[in-house]
Amino acid sequence: MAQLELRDVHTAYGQSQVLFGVSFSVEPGECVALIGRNGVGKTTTIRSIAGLVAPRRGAIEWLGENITGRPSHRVAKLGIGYVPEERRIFPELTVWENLDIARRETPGGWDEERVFELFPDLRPIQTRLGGVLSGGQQQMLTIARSLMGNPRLLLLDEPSEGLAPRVVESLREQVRSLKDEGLSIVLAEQNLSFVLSLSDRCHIMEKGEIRHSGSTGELRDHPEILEQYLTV
Amino acid sequence: MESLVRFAREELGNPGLATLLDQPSFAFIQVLNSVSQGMNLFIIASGLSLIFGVLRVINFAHGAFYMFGAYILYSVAESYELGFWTGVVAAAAGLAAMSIVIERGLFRFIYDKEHLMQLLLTFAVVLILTDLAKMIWGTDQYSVSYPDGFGGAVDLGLTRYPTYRLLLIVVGPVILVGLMLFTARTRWGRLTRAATQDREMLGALGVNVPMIYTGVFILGSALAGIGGALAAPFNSPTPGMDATIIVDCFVIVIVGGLGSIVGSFIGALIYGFVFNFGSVIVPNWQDVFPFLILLVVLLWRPWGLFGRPEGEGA
Ligand SMILES: Nc1ncnc2c1ncn2[C@@H]1O[C@H](COP(=O)(O)OP(=O)(O)O)[C@@H](O)[C@H]1O
Ligand SMILES: [Mg+2]
Repeated sequence: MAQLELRDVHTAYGQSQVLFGVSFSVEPGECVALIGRNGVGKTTTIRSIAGLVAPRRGAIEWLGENITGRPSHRVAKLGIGYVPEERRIFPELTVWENLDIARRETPGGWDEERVFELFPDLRPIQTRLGGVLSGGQQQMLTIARSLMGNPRLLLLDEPSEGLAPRVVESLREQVRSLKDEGLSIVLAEQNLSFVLSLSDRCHIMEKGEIRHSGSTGELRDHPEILEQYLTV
Repeated sequence: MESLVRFAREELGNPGLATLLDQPSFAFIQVLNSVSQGMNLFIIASGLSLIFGVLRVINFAHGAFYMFGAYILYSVAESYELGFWTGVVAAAAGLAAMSIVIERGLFRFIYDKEHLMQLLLTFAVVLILTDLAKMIWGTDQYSVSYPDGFGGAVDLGLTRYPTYRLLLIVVGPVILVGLMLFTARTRWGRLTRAATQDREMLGALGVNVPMIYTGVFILGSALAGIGGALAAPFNSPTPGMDATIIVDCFVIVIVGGLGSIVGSFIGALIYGFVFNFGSVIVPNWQDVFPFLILLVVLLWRPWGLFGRPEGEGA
């Protein structure tokens, strides 16, 4: 049984429909990538899973349980961590407070000590306000914050966006080490080298639908597929 | 100084100002009156501001909550003779219970609606509550005695001053510090601030935001209840007392900056001083003072003293 499964998900914002039947699944420990140009519906897919927008049709199952349309705080408690594209650090809370509000104590789970081991750059800035962090610090904090809730799956929306190449490099290592620990990941990303180095499977989206699905190895061997969907 | 007193009395024809300048004890009493009235208003206004800061709803029924606090105190302390302090606790608990019902049953459904809808609904709650109060307590004006040990006056050197009013002067800052510690140092306070900044994100992190909203609404409403109970000995519980207080509270909260607790504190002090000194210097104009304060502050800082312009966080 897949850990996460989307079946024929249709999502709309008011009158404008964005997703037209998205289906894919994630196995435990797997990293599944959603790629595609701006506006194809990657974020909407992730927000549908996180419970931030309710699909009009279709089903989302988590560990065999139907979670379609559940409020986001329930979805999060079931073990799905949402890491938004805009990072959405609480600007007037300190770094430590940003972590603390997401805390869910579990034996052997994440706490600030473990978080700072993974993101050592956050340790010296614990008392700094979220609003004054650099883009790289914000990205680390937003992932770290989700980890405090002990997720089994992370929804990572464009984590490398707007970051300097050196920062993207260390982010890649950090995400890889999370994957090595057995965390499943849904990764929406435009940075192809980032995607190809981390994911196991890729779904290429266009206009709210998945147009091509395949293993990451296949895409590495056939860059013409990527070109077909991603060049303007 | 003496020439100043004479100038006030003879040239300005203002005996009030002349007495203020002439008699230090009279001026001192006005200062104490200002602070004690301000502190009573702060207790109530801080609840209104807290609720607005997090829930973004302007609760017109806050004045009615205050009135219920005063009535509950009267019933518990005077009718049932269970003591003044029991009455204060009962007022807080009673308002907490009432506010759960009102938040879960009504307010919850209007957070995403526009301000006009919110105004109409909270106004409907005002009408219901004032009628309910009339059904329970009628239209009499009740007198409430001071709590044991606080009925007299204390010698402060310059003058003697009612003990009970001095108590209010102490309680106000205690509540201020308590609320500040709560928001700054407790996990609930941190969650509350996070909810103010980005409600959706907080929910996506697994926090039950509606629960936080209920909690804040309970706390803010209980403050109105406590404020009403503490005011009962000098503001006899009676119908209509809610209407006056809500105007005062709005002035204070807007002057201080919506959502800012320190702002309400300073706003309440300003209100107290302008009202008390204004009544002495320009008698019979006290009803205009609240609006004058509002006008002056809003012209100078449209978002209030401690508030921030819309869109820059709470
Ligand atoms: N809150 C919203 N309301 C209306 N339309 C939206 C909203 N969010 C996104 N959209 C639209 O949905 C489409 C898909 O957006 P999105 O899921 O953000 O794509 P991606 O993440 O792939 O760039 C876009 O056309 C976008 O304009
Ligand atoms: Mg996106």
